[in-house]
Amino acid sequence: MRAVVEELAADRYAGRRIGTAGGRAAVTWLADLLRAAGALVRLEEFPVAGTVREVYAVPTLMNWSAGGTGNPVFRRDFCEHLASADLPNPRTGRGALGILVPRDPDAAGWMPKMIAGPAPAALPVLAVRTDLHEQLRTTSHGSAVTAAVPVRTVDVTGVNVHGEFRPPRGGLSLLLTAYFDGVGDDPHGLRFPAACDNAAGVAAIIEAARVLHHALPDDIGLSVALLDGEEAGAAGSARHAPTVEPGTVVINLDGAAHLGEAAAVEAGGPAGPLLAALDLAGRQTGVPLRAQAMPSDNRRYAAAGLPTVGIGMGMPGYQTPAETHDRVQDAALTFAARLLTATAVNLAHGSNAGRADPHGWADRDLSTHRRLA
Amino acid sequence: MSTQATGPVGGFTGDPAEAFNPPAAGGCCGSPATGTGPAGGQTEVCCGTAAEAQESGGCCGATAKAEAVASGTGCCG
Repeated sequence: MRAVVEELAADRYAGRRIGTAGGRAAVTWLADLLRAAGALVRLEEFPVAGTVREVYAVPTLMNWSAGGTGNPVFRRDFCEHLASADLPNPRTGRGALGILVPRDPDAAGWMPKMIAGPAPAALPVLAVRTDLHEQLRTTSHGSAVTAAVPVRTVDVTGVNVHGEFRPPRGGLSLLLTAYFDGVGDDPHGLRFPAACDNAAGVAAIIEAARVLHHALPDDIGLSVALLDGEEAGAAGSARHAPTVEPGTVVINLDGAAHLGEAAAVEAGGPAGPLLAALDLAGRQTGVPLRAQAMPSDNRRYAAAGLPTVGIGMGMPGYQTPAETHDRVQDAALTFAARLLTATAVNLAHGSNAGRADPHGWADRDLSTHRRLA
Repeated sequence: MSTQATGPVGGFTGDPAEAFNPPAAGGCCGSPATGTGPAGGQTEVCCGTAAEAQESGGCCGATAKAEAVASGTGCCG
């Protein structure tokens, strides 16, 4: 799993934004990985129009006022605002040039990046670190600034990667999902590795599928969907969910980097038996669980009427350059894969809250993951 | 637990069915979830309301998500 995270966070994937060469390279690599694991792979292309906001050159902001801060740094002191109009070339003005809105950086001083948000407005907009914004606002003579906001809306093509390990045979059919896309690098090469959000989730579900492929009874169907475009409004799952066979049980993993106090779980659709299996798996594997909103691809599958749980296990450095592979804890990956594996096995064997683990699946999974982690 | 979970501490604390109607993450993101479990149930999302999510074409209200991130609370898919 560690190797998968490091690979997806590598420079050649350039942050894996939907519709980019880096994103497509990730598709190719993941497809090969699934084939090597024994899956029948299918790629599903889909258009995403009018959603993705692209910063196509480095925005600039200079403050010329007396006592001003001079040359604020993009992504540290200010960043794009998704509602901005495109202002490709620097323009100097006082008051009417555009809008500066205050924004707090994260704990490490980064301003997180997003690629889908409010509809663009008529004026250029930049988000400015709150204290700097206050400085600009209270400058006694008013602030003259020079700014460029090169941001545009792009139409792109996304690609979901589907891997069928076992075809449905009329019995239980399991679908493990995780998105692989990120928000992409900044135009000056600042890297957004997206190791936690969500290379870690991808690694864990692939590992779980590899184990389950060899461990589940023959009549159980098993597939994975590695989804594109989650950062663009969960576009990949919106495309896929309506096509999934009714009754398929869906488990989505959104982050597997840092377990913290407990894994967050949101359920949708007729997921009672799935929740019971997950609860039992949590006790078998020692993973604490708590009900918590998980607004991710799982909601697309739940909305399609499928029994679904979304599980989240932490994303340190969320959508910043600090989301590097070393932030992903091996233990969190292992716990995530074990939890998914045990849940699937419990479902396959008809779990209930009072049942122990008569087949020793959790221990078997643990030993397997110790070898593979 | 940091990452050193051990056997007896796992599983849900409380009723697993609460996952059908989960609270929003701490400080994040807008309206609390008030979803319903059964298929076809209307689910409120943590990044704004279900109506905002639908309007944004995603699983979150895009504006609410942007505001949550902007305010440093971080969130959501």
